[in-house]
Amino acid sequence: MSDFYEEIVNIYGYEKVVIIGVGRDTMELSNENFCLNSNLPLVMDDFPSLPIHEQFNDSVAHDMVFLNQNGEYITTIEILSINDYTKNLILDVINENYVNNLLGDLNNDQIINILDIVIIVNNILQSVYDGNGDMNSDGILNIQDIVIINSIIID
Amino acid sequence: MIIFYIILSSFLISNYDYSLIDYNESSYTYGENVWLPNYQDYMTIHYFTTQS
Repeated sequence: MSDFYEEIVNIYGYEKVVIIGVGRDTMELSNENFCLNSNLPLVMDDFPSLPIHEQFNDSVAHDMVFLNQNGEYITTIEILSINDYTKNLILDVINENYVNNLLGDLNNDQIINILDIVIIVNNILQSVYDGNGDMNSDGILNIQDIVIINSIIID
Repeated sequence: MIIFYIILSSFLISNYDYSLIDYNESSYTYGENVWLPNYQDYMTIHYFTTQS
């Protein structure tokens, strides 16, 4: 699957797409197999409460749950293997929902407005870096970036 | 004003989110927390390997 992921990013150019494996802390063999065959991130869903499983509408094994860049649900596809058919299914979903980022548009709605200021303030307070909000390209988010976004909104 | 922004932002947080350690030693983000904050503005695909 990681080979296909490299295709998604490097050949198809969807740089802001990530596939995250969701394992279960009690399934060591399955987790080891995932890690042996991929360089994709793997997180553990705590058994028995399985909070991620519950949050994602009781998704079952081999489900791929797609969320857009705002964290909103798109669809779920069962992927038993990666082949040309399933690759096309996945690429179709990405192609229909992927949004190219506009500098300053932190919520990816293609408009720069007060909501983007809300998000950048939140990011600054939580020390989270988002390159989309780094308006002066100095590698940090701070009040200067807010001022620039504010100027764009006023203009 | 900042407090207003924080309160407003709480209404914008989606139902879907988690921030958990990446256990895959081969991954670029091994030992770091994903999906948040590392992939905050990404389209995310969550692949369930075992749950049934």
